[in-house]
Amino acid sequence: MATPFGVSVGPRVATSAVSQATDQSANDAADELKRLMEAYQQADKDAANELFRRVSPMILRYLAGPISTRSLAEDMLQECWMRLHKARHTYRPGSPVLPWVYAIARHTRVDAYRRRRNIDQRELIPENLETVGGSTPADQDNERGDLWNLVAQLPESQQEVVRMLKVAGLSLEETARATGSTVGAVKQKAHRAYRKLRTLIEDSQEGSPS
Amino acid sequence: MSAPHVTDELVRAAQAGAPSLPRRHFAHVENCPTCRALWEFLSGKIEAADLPPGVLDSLDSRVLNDLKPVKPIPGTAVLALLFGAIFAVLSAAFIFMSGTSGVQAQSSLQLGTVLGVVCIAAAALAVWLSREMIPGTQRFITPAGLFTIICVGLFLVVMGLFEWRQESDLFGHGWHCFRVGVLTALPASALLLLVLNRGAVLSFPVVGAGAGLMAGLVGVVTLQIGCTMASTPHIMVGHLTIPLAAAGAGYLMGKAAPLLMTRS
Repeated sequence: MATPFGVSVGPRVATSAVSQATDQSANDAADELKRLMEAYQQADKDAANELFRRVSPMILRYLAGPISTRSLAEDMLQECWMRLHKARHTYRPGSPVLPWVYAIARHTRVDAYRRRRNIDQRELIPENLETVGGSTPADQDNERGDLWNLVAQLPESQQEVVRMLKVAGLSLEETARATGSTVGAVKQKAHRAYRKLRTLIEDSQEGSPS
Repeated sequence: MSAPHVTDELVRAAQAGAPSLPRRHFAHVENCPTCRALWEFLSGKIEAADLPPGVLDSLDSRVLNDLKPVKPIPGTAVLALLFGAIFAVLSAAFIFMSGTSGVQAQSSLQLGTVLGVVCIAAAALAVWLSREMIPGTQRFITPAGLFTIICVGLFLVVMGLFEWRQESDLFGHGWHCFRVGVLTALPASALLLLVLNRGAVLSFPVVGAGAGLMAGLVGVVTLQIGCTMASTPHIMVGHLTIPLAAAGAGYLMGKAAPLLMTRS
């Protein structure tokens, strides 16, 4: 049954079967990434190409953030891959690939924004920016774009966790590994972030400042 | 339902990976614009970005032209053992050089407890450093937590076990031991950095502080066995300041490292 706001409510059995299928597909994708990464370490150019093709779009989305310029995001992606290439010997065969990738991507992003510390991203007018691929999280649709602007008001450590969970699509454990933190700390930050986000949503709907 | 309770329930449902909103929340979410907006955010999927044209070609030319096979780094267990071996071998070497006069000045309980705590701290740092070499490895404690536990633990053990005696030249004697400790920490730092360089350290200041702390513990072990002044003030001023100073120096060197690498 579809609701007016597009969220469907299904029976529990179907939900469980869909979840299992989704989990299996995610496991297969994760195993394939491991295989590609191990082949990349052995200088397999085809595997390296396939890895770039699969992983780059999500890294780009993660690096771009809610508001970014095309050139900055592309520069960060290039720098991120140079770091990944230089550090490829530190990937342990058989271990999850995405936490390894996003740990390096995270530091690439932090370093890039530190270098551009003088630019206040919040004061830039979104419609004047040439955004990444025409669809940053901020402008996928108006309502969700507004939410990402609210996310930008969260403390940096909470923003980072939300970005990893929502944009990068990592699990709690993967996010903990990528941020060098513990699962408990990530859970706590995520909960605080979502509670704060709820307050910001409420305030923005009422039209009053938080 | 209170707002925090609703938020927690929505977050749990989203994190459980359920493709649809649990039935018991349906009525509330339908009538509450705030919760509806939050649920759509939590359960929505961000599509991957379109790669700008030429990006993959650019990566190919920069990365694949230089593609050579690499040997994966050893696992964290091996790396931790290596760090532990550096600590043990250097401590033994410096104890051999400086002597064991301090053993007679302390009870077995005092010496055993301090050395036990230092060895546990060194082992914990060895494990932590090994994980810092490999991005994306699991962590069980934050760096701040680990450093705080080690430093506070050492100070509490010394305060609890040793006598608070007035020293005639506290800072003079303390400075002498501090210099000896720094001299032992320097080669330890160099060896630790040699191993760390083999990995992909992401946070130079934090890892620098950790490596400095571990190198400083070599000094603490050496002095605890070699120094005859077994009073709380002297140990705190002359011995325990070594790992703190080494950690501070490591942190500052870590801060400067990216600048030095940019210039080279």
